[in-house]
Amino acid sequence: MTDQASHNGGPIRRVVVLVDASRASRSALEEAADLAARRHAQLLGLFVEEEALLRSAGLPFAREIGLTSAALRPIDRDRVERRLRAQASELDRVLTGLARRYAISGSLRVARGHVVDQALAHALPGDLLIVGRAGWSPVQRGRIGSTARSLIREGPQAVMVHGGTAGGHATIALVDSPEAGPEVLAMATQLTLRDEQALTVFLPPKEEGNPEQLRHLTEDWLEARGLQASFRTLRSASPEAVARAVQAAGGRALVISRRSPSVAHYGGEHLIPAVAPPVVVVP
Amino acid sequence: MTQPLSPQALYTPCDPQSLPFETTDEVERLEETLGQERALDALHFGTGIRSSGFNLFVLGPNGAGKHALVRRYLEERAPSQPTPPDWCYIHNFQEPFKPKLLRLPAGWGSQLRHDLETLSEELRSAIPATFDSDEYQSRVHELQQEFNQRQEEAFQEIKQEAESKGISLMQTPSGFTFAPIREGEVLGPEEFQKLPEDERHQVEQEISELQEKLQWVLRQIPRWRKESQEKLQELNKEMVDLAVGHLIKGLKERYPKHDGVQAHLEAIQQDVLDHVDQFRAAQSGESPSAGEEAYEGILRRYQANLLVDNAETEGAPVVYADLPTHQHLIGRIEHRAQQGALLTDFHLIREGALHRANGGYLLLDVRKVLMQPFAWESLKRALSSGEVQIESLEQVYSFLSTVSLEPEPVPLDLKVVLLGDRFLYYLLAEYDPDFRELFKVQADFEEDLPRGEENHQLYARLIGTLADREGLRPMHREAVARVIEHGSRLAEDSERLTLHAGELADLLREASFWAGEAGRERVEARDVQTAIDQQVHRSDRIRERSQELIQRDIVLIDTEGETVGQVNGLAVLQLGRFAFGRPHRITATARLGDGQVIDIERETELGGPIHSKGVMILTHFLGARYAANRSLSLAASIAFEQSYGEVEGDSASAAELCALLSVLANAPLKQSMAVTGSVNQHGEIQAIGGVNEKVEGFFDICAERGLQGQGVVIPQSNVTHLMLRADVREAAERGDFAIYPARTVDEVMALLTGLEAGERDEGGAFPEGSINRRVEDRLEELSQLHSQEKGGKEESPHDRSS
Repeated sequence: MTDQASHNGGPIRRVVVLVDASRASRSALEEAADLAARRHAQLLGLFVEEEALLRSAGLPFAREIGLTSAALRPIDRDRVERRLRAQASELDRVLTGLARRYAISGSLRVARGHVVDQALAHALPGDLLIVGRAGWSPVQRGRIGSTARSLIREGPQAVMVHGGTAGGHATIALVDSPEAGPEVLAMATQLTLRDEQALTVFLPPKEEGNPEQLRHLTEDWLEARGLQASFRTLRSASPEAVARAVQAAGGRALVISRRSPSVAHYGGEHLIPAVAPPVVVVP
Repeated sequence: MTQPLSPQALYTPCDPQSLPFETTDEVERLEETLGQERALDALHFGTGIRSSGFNLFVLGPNGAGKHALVRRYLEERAPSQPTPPDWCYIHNFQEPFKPKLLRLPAGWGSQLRHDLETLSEELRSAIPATFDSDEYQSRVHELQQEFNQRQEEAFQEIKQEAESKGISLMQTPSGFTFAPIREGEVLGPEEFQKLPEDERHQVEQEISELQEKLQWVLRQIPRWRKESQEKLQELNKEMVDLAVGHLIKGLKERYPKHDGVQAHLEAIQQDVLDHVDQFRAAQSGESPSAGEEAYEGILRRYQANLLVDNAETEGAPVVYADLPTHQHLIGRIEHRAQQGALLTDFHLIREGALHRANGGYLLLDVRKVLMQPFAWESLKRALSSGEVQIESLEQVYSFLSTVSLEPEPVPLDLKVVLLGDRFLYYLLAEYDPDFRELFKVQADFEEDLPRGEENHQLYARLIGTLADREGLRPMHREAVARVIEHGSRLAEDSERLTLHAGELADLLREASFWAGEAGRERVEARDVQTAIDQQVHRSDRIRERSQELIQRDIVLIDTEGETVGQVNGLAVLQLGRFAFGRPHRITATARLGDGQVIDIERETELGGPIHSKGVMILTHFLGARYAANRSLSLAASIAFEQSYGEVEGDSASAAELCALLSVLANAPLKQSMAVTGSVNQHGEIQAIGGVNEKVEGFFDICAERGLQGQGVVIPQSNVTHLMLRADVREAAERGDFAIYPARTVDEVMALLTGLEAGERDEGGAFPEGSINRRVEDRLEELSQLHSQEKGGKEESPHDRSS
């Protein structure tokens, strides 16, 4: 296992949060500001005005169904635009406040178009892109939305998918291949709150890989940087088993590679919704 | 002429030979109480009767041994009575500010407390273990997944249906919307208008249907969530039953016949279930310190506060409350400061003396109860209502409104025994109507005992018992005899013996001390005498000063010669427990006037009402005897010379009358005599108090000046009270000092003047030259003078006008 001199193995340069006006996205913004401050990175809020939504709002029969009330309300393009502008302005205010509070460089960018396209257009290698599991909507958290899925698959940057509940203390790195190891470990160490705080490394079961070898490689990698970690060999690489292991280890974030069999083989669609804390997928 | 009393009449000795022992070591101990049959009968009745209000008041002077006797009586009686129950306060899960009361058989309280503490300890580990288990966690996860899946599926179904119809489900800032898609793009209004009308119509129709379906799904979500919550509750209950059920069941089996305990245990089980979330929060460590505090707070409520523990009590309790404040009587609710606030719970309820004595006896000094603010009212309220309601004074009088508790009242079944002096008993009986209702039984203490052979024996046993109990030296029979004699002196009656155990015990202690000082193994009569003398010596500084003033003629008292209108009266000064007699010069003057006898003491407000009464009585005696048929034309005055304090009592009224009669008869009175006694309207001399001290007081003055046959006139009815000092008796024996008993004022006047008082003859006249004749003549003379003066005054205006 060798350290790749790519952006992906390097420090987080920018934290990009795909925001809307929901409370969940604001709280993610706050966490992102904290992370950016700790990693001396920039913070960018990306607010995408969905072109398709604006178009559909222009239809004569367009109606909005309230998420909580289930009430049916007429909408029109002007109204949606006004609302989006108000939300963008509010988010700008929030971001400015956070930037001042955390003494970071923070800004909001408003873009119009398709969410995935815009996110990909704005994301760069070395970014950490934070998204909601299925947008920031409180429903549909049980599955991963198409936006998050596309960004995980296609983007040049790492993606942190929020959606469940946080609360643990350990950053968990799932190291299941020698190739993916350095990027995963590099991201995991950056997410670790404090240097002395626990970094837990999950190793694949024997049937799925070579945990002994991976452990040695990981230990070497950590030793070279003066770091330590605790190890745990998974009994199964199934999404449920990984989720249970994360909970048992008190995980506050799980870092995994896009190339990991857990994502590639079992599919991120199962693993990500199963894990309660945020999942960071590195490319 | 009245004869002096024989020396034998001055003292009633106790013959040591009549005591059948050498020293008190041989005397059988006195187990029963001497001379208090009436009080014991009252105690027997008062403690036996079960009706309410029959509490006891034991009345008698301080130091009479009330406390010891009552305590001994109750402690003998109490063990044979049933042991009262234990009382516990437990948490009230329905109304937390009203802790519940549990009544348990004696000894069960501490067991239950221990069991509940153990239960809490077990819950402390069992509950987290249950919620931490893989089984619970995975089942909770399953429930969450189930809810999510249900929601997902419903959405997915709509989404797929929409997609199959070329319609997209999109998120708006606050909800969802549907829009038609063609070639992967949402149609705008223009594109939509380009569609054929049928298609447009169909799209609208389909979107409308989809909207309805989505609305239905969104409306189901709260219900699904509720169902999910209910399932979680079910799961929690199941897990709690698993974790706690067997512990509770085990405990319930230990208290099978106790409904209160059974109910409490069931309430605990329900409460654990109601607080599953708190247990989980504490255990998950989201906020470890706050969570743990809440956790401990919950567990604390399952324990019991054992208010009264009778596990070690045998029979009924006998409790004496030394400091009967409101709180010490009825209990209190303590508070603890937490972050600046005062908080309390049922664990901080503390018992009072009423709780401890419940089912038995509570002894209280009534003076102490009355001196503690609100204690008397609180005691009465508890006895009237038959229960103790623990309330702070702040609550009762609404001084403060901190959050406090209203514990369930404890039913009372006890006898309160108040101990106090008679004055307080009669004061309360007179002024407090509740008192008569609540303390219906009075146990009145005798203060003395008749003398006699049998009682001497019993008294000797009492002395022996006291000496033994106090660990004193054994007493020789002569010492015992001397104590008996002194007991009679203390009773101020030669025919009675004091029952004042405190004074008696002090005398024995002191005599034993002096015997020790003298190096004797046993106490002898001289040690008792030393003890008595030393008691006097320690107290008589003022007496000595008073006598010194008389000896130096600063206070004028004549003990020889004869003087008209001047007599030696006798007063007693009480200084704490020591009393001594002191002579006073009483003088009288008389002149023409309107029939007034002025009591100078009263006029100067130095005379008390009883003294004034004595003077009024003698005035009317004078008028009735000597001026029955005419006006008493006299202006007389009577004074206690050189008396600068208040004078009270009528024991000098005979002396005052003598001084007045002396002036009227112009008959000098012997100054070698002193007089004591009160007089009535018929001229009879009546008994007075402190006769021994009075006689000895005059004797001491005379003895220092030289005894020459001086004497004291005392009422005949006081002869029986004489227990005079040995030196007085010896002087009487030698004829140097005499005590004269007198029944009437005539006898006293005869003794003081050496003249005949005189009785009226058949014609109603007193004999010529007798005292009474001389008085009558002088009053007649004054009356005539008065008539002349009055006549002259009536005529003079007429003279002037003529």
